[in-house]
Amino acid sequence: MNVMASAAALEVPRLEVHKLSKAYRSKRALDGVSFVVPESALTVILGAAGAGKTTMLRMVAGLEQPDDGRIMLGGRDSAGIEPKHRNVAMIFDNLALYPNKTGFQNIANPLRIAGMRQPEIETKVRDVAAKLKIAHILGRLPKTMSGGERQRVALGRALVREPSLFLLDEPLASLDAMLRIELRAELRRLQKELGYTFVLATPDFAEAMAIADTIVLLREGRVVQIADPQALYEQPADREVAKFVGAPEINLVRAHYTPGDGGHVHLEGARYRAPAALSRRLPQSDLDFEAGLRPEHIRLSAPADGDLQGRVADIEPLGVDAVVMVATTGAELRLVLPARSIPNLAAGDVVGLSIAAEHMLAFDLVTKARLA
Amino acid sequence: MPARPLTPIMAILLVVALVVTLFPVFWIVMTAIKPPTDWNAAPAIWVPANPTLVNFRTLFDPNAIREYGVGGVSQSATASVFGSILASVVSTFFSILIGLFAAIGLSRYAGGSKVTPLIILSGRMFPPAAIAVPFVIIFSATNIIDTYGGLIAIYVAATLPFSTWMLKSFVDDLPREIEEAEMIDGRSRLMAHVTVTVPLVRGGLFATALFIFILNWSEFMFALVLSYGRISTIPVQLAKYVTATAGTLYGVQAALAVLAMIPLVLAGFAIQSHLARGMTFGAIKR
Amino acid sequence: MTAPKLQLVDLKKEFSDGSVAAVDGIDLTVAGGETVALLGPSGCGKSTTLNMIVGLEAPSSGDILIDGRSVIDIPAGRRDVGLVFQDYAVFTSMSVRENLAFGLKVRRVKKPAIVRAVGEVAELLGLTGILDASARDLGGSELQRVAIGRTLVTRPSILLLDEPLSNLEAAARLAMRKELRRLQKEIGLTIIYVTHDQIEALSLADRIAVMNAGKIKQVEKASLICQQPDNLFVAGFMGSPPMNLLRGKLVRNGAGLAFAKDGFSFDLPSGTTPGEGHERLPAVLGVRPEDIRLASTGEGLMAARVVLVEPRGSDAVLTVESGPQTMKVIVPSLGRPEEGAEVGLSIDPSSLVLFSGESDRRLPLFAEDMS
Repeated sequence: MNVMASAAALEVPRLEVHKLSKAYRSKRALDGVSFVVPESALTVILGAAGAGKTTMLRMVAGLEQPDDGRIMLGGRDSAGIEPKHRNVAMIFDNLALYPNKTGFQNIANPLRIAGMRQPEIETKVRDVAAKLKIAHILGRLPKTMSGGERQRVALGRALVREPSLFLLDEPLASLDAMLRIELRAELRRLQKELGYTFVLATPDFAEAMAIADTIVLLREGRVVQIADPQALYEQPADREVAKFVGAPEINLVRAHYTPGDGGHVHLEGARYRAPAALSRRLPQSDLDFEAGLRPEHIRLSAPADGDLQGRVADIEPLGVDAVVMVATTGAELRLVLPARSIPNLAAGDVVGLSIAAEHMLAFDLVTKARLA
Repeated sequence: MPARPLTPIMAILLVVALVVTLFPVFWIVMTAIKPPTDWNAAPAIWVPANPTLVNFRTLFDPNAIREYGVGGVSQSATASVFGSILASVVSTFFSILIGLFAAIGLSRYAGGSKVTPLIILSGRMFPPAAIAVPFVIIFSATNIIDTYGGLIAIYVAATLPFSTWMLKSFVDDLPREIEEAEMIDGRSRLMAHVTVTVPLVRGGLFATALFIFILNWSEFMFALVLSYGRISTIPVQLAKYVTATAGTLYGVQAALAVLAMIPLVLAGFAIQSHLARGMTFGAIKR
Repeated sequence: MTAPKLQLVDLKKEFSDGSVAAVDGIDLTVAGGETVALLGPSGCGKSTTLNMIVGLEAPSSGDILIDGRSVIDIPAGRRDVGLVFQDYAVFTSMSVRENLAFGLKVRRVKKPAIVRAVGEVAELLGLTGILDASARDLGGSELQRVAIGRTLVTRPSILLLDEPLSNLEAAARLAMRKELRRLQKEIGLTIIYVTHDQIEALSLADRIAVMNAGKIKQVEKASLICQQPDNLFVAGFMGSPPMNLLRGKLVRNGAGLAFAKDGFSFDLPSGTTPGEGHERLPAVLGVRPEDIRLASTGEGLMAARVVLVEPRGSDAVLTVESGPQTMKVIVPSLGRPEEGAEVGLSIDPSSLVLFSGESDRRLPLFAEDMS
């Protein structure tokens, strides 16, 4: 896949968005958004509700016009080109299936509009239906189908056109938790198998991380970070990104850095070797900063063995793991433990905590940006 | 929900409501088959002892009623029936056509504020009597007075606020993404509305059409002031059944009224199933 | 012994066309002050069950008892049960205060009592600051608190919530989870949640009743249900990702038993006497994704190819294929393989769970072992 990616980088990108802006009345929906989607990649537009994801996708599809900026499809400026001429397929969050048409007719619709002949339409539709395993529901109306089946019909309608770009706007939002996880893996496998270029919008970071090649994180209409999933998790651009991506949520604690002796971090009364990246950044100066500690990097131990001590404030069993909140002198820290170890733990217990400081993230107190 | 049993109070209320609604219809039908002697009888005669069809015949043969010693009906009602059909059907058609596309435009493309529905409806807030005279003057000056064209124009203008407003609420309830899917599938913007939006608001379309048709069919004021002999509609014709000798010819009027009711009742039955869906004016979603 | 707060006895609800029953004979006992979640996929009957408890739907057969008394013939408004709808159904034309007061006004409670009750509930839910705001201007989590508050003012003894977190944004969901748990502790209501999201159920409830196709498959404490699935459905439903289920059969292997599937055989630990299991019984082997390790040598080694990698941040979920069998494995992020890589899977035999392929029920591996 790496080879594919670098080869793709030499080609014209399937989609390029350049300084895109759009405002509705007084509200800015998008503000100078730029990013590139290479051929055959799955790019996820990640952001909370109102971040601008839907506006972005609608503009790429041609349903709305930007106030400023350019959208290049396959190297060509798309300004003034009607949706029907853009060779782009869009799957809306409410799926937008034609309620008065059967599964077959829904999928066949774009081919019918294009004037394809009936026998050819039949073949293509049955082909796609087989691939999506929905051959058995082709004769039914959408209202008699389950959520997952409707989802696949919407996908089929898009696939049958063999478009150059797929836009998916929170396609799994209306599904059950379990179905969502199942279908997103299927979407990913389909995308890889067929080599299509997908742009998928979602507010769910777990979904984004599971299937994306690249994640474009939007916040209030601006791009905050563009990175692959692991990089987004391990090197968030600022503290808000760190909070948004990751469950349970990252711990953010006031800390102090001293440069002497290779660099040390003082946190809640304990002293740690500073992570290499921080020492490199700040060789000479003292600094107050905000430390980001992921719950998985904090371990529980006997009170005497830990670097810190605290009192168990809350225990939340979540199946295989459990989230334990421990209150220290100045903060409440979240950690993840295997569920097996919690029966012996109760609220109020005094415990010890050890922190794997080498994974610590550092955020500037004022700008909130990540320092290291 | 488990069905609630019909309590005696509710049953009484239902009966009262039915009587109040259906009684005028009953009276009109009875009057239509009464001989002239029964028309003004006091105490009122509910069901005529000697029902007759002379009133109906008089509509088309003005002299038919002379056999009862009543004269003075000058013309047959045929022209007015055709006139009503022409005026109502054509004006309803155009009102719906223009209203539908206005509704789509307002729903999908215009910004619109909270007062938009009010502004649309304000066109209807003028009492017809207040603007009747100015219209007579304008129509005379432009030579469209006493023409069906002129009448249809007034009817369309008068009912457009209603048709736009009603159809807009139906279009609002349709998720716009369905038309947009059609546009992305390859259809042009306008055609997408024709092939997708229109069929899916069919129920609302029929409900609105019936409503507008009833308005036009029963319109009296403008038809009266704008007709001088060449055009005629049923409500105007009804008013003509007043003679110097026998006073108001209630029976003949009733007969014409019965005939006028029939298309409405038939239309109502024909689109009944569509009506039920349409009349909810948009159910709750989600 | 006091009667349990809520009891469902062989509750059934059939569709009018006589097809599959929406609710097919469920029994459930909920103690006072307990929080129970009805968890299951769409169409499992959980919402119908909720509607029957509230009184919006009448059961076809069976009984519902509150405080030991049957409430089937008591109309919905008078059962002392409060329901918070999935989409809140808050009156947008009224202020928060008016919304909260609504239920009491309808019940003709006197004004001073209404003011007091509204004040208490507002404080409990953190709404005192926005009491006079119009409901139209509120965001998702505020609306939900108003919806909950509106039900709480009538002081029901049982509170029912239909998918309470589904309409909230991720951040708001977390905050609301905390709030709901705090509420539980503070006022000691008996609460029943209906949800399709197991994380929601696990974090909110004391006990979880997993439902499917109109039946309750298992009722267990939230802290135990993932570790101790009783049957195939629960095993394949609970867990992120759920347990891998391999269908095969039990065969005799020398002195002991082994699990065999398509030429692949796995010895069960010596001394295993799997409950009612016996030779040639169709069986399903359950292996948890977190109990499979990538290894180059070791016991129970299986060759597989990585088909999909789904990063989760601290770890990643690998979908691997070994012959015709697809499984999910959890590995740490660091050093995880790429898609297409060939790997070796090592499974710890003591972590295995066995199910009967006939009854779908769990087979305890040792005579006295039930965990």
